[in-house]
Amino acid sequence: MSEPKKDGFWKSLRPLGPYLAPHRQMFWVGLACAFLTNSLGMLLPLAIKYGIEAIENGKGFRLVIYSVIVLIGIKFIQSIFRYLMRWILIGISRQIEYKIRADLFDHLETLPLAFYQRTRVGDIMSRATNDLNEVRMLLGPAIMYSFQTVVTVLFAVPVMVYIDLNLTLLSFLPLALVSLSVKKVGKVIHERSMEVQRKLSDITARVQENLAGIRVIKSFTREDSEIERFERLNLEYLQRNMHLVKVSGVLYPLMAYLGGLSTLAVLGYGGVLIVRGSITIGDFTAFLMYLGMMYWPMIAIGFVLNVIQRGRASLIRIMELFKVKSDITDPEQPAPALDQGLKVEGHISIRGLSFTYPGTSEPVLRELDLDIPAGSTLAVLGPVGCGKSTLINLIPRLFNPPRGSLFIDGVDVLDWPLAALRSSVATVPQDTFLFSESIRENILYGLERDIEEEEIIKVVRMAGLHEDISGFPDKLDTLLGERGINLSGGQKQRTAIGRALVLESPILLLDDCFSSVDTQTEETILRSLKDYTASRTTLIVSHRISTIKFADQIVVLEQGRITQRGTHGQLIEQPGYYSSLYEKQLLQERIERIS
Amino acid sequence: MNGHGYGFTVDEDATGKAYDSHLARRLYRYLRPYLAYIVLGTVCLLGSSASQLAGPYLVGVGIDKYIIPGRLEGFSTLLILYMVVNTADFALRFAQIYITNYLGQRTMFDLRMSLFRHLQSLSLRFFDRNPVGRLVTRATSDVEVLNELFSTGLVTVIGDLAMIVGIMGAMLWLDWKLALLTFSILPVLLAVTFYFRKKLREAFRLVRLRIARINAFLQETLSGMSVIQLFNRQQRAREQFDALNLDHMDAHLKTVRNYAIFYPVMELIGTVSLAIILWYGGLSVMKGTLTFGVLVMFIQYVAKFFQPISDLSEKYNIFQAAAASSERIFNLLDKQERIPDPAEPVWCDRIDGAVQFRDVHFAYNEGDPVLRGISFEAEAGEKIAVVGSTGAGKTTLINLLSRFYDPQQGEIRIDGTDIRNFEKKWLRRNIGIALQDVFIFSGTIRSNIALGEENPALEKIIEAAETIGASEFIEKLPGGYDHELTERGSTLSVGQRQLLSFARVMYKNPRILVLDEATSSVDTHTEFLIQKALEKLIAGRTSLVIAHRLSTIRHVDRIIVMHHGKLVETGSHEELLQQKGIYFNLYQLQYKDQEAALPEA
Repeated sequence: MSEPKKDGFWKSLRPLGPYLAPHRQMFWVGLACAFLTNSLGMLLPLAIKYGIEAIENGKGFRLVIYSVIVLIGIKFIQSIFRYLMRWILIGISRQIEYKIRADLFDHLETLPLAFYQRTRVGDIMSRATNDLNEVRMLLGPAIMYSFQTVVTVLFAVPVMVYIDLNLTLLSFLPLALVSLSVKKVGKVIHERSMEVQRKLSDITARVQENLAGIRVIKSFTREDSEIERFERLNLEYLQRNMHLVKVSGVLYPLMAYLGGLSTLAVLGYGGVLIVRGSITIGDFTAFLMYLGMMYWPMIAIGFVLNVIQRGRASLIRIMELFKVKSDITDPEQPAPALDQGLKVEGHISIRGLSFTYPGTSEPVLRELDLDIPAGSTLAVLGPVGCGKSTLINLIPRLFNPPRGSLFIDGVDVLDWPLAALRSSVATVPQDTFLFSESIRENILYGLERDIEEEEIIKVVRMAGLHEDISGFPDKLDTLLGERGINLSGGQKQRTAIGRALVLESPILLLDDCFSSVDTQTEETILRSLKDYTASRTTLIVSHRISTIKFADQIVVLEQGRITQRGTHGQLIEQPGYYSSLYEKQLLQERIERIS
Repeated sequence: MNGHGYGFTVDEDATGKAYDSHLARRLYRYLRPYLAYIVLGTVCLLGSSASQLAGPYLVGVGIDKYIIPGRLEGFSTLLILYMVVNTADFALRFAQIYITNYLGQRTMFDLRMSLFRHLQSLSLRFFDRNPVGRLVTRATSDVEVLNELFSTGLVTVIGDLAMIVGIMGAMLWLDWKLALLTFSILPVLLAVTFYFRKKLREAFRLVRLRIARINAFLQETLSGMSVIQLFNRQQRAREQFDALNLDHMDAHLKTVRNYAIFYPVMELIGTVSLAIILWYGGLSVMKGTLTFGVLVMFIQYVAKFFQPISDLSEKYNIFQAAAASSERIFNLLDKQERIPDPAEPVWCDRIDGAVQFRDVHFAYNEGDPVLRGISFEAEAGEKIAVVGSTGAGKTTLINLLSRFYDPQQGEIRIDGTDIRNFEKKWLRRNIGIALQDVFIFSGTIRSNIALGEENPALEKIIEAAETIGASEFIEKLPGGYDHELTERGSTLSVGQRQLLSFARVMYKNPRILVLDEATSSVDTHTEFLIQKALEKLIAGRTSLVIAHRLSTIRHVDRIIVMHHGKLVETGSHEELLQQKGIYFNLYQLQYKDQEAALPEA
């Protein structure tokens, strides 16, 4: 954990200002309640003091009764304010936690694919949960306890000094050690529990690796040595834990011990003072009670200091996320041609498009020139890593193409408002990603209008999913993911196809989306798609000739360049990537037919 | 993980009974070896409770015997005694915490080991059906939950009870009338504590559930952010998240409100009990039936009453969570999916390595046969290439020969003996497997070649690597054979991983070799190295190679062609080409391109 510099203390907390501002009034009310409940609490020992002095002097029981009534009365009022204090102050911290988390999520939604490719999801999540919790501790309990401590010290110390200065000094010595030890030991505890956590994740990784490689382990009969390795790690974990217990186990007994020392000081020195007649037994009892009241605030000092330190470090980590800005944003001035109500034709033209991923030097696409007239179909073919998916990703601006290289209906995609651009483009990405909702919800995912049941069925049929779905217990409403059914790779792809088809967008991008679908099903889908794609600009990326041979134009992409272009009929006549792939696939079909 | 849609992986929350005699008995078996620690911990705890009771007593005695009479001789002895008791309390408390934590850690250690051992013995069929993630949770989180039961649950319950009984006893002994009067607040105290604990338990259950939902949702949305953006669904995701976030806040506010009431109410009850003591006790003091010191003792004892009761009510959570976790753990320990070892295994020192498949039928899932009556024979030392298109059942042959699965029908023999009559470990020790997807373990190159063998001889490792031709790249790595490989070997190239897996088999030096060649293409130099290595590897062994390289099929004695789970053609390369059957076509498809790259054979 980074140790923030001292001079930046308030500066690093400044981002919390706007979050606290709307709660300013309630916050003051909460502090007022904290003030009242704690200052009222200071009266309790006094009530007891008078009660005991009444007993001491044998002044009759009326005074005793009075003090008892006063005692309960004060406590009752105090309880109400204590309730309000907790409810208001801790409640505010929870509301701020909610707000920060909501803002963080909004912010994350604006960040581009590039950010998610370089950042681990686990890291973002740990900031949105663990770090946020540390910040909340800073805002809630830390503020509440430090205020309580201040009020208690402010009121109790003068009364205690009034009873006897030396007794106060003597009994405070061990209490000061309590704050110190909570601060110091608390820090060591935190460090050591971090070590324990790290060992635990080692164990988790070990089990994970072992189970993932269980085949290799079994075939090399290494079960026993794996068990030994695990035993060693397990033992280290045990030792780390005991290492932690050595300090965590000390803290609580130590606090009790120091508290005991305080009592001892009061008993010894206070006893002498009573015998000398300089204080009463009532004073003595009141003093003991004040001491008891100081005990928790002294612990709180040490606790709060650690919470503040950790909270600041966490806040800095959260702010780092907020500082990441997206470069894929709406244009400042959308192109004038994009007036509302305009029908997107879907004419894509690509002029001299080169593209290099940010942070790399090797271009992925080199000087591509392509014209895809509205309603036509372009197929892109090529070996792995040739830049096919990059081309697809540039159209809906998952990455920004260079200005002046990619146009839709004559307007540079950089001048399209993002939402308008993306709603004219329906994409089936290469990595199928479905949400753990029902199949229906997944298919209707991008659709903003309501839809008739027949229309959905039509789409499901087009995507070749109909038969699969009729076999599911809840048909279209079958849940996906851990809580529902696990679809096969092909079924997932077809669901993603359905999700794109239902949008009826003027542009359709199919990025290698039949790879897990068998050839027969693929052909069926393609046949039923014919009418659908006739009126739409379609880009198909594929490895299979059968998928693309009907395309109006076909380009072969190799190492970012277009090496061949033409129709199926033209390309099979030329020697090159296309015709050799074609031959191979014919052979494959032949083999499949034999049996 | 590959970024597909994941479900809400909310762990089923503990809703089981807090006590289940069957579970308790099984857990006890893990505790039994450490009974001495339980006894010792309990003794420390009782000692600490006693010294905590002694403290207030000494204060009271000090007031009555020394302070009020104004006699100070002997007072210092009492103060020293107090100091001793206080110190003893510190030592005993720490000893108890240390001992019970040690007890918990040891028990966890044993439990984790027996889980791990158990997992090592289960068959692949089990792993096909159970996602790794869930099994990992059993061995980590679930065991961790039990730790709390052993280290802070069991023993401290005894301590809390002892404390309560002790305080009540002391009070009754000091002044039974005042004691009984003070106890009158007990029912209220208990009722309030258990009422709020129950509410808080519910509230915390909600909190856990909802934080898990937030996590699952974040996990999913962050993984699929580009889909959200492509489909313009930011607003919808925001609303979904907001609902979860609000729910989460509400659940927390419930706990805040409950605490906000619970704490003050407890304090109020404390004050009422104080008032009772002050009122009745004060009157008694004035009447002379009670001493001042005893009054002070009562005030202190009643303050100590609250902690153990509150602690006890909290223990319920621990017991409940532990019951749920141990049930899940024991369920896993009860799984007995194993490939059985024979009761009386056949032993022989050395095998020749003749392999025979006799009418083998196999299906991973019933009704979906993968092998449909495979019969073939490999003589000892014979090299056979298995070819066929994907899904023909080639890999299954390997799985069956190593007894990762048993065939549903037919048998496999080595040197004429059904492999089910050998001990599994013995069988696998005689078969070397190199798979396409080379699995690299985190650790050094050395440990990856020797694969976990205790004190492997470096010379033997180097020899294996040199024979295979892997030493060249290994020696260039920082640290050479001690180079640390990261998880899944991401620092090595495909070719290097391949060579490493060959070196593994070479090191093992088995009689029978099963090899699934990698399909991915490598550069010419590596290709050359791999070819060389392969020649070395198959020399003098019965070899079954799922071939993807032309050079390989040219080097073997015989080729068998599989198609849709059946063996359709067999013979030498030339013979099969002449048949113009499936092999002929496969050859055109898979191997012909490599001809140009191949140095003349």
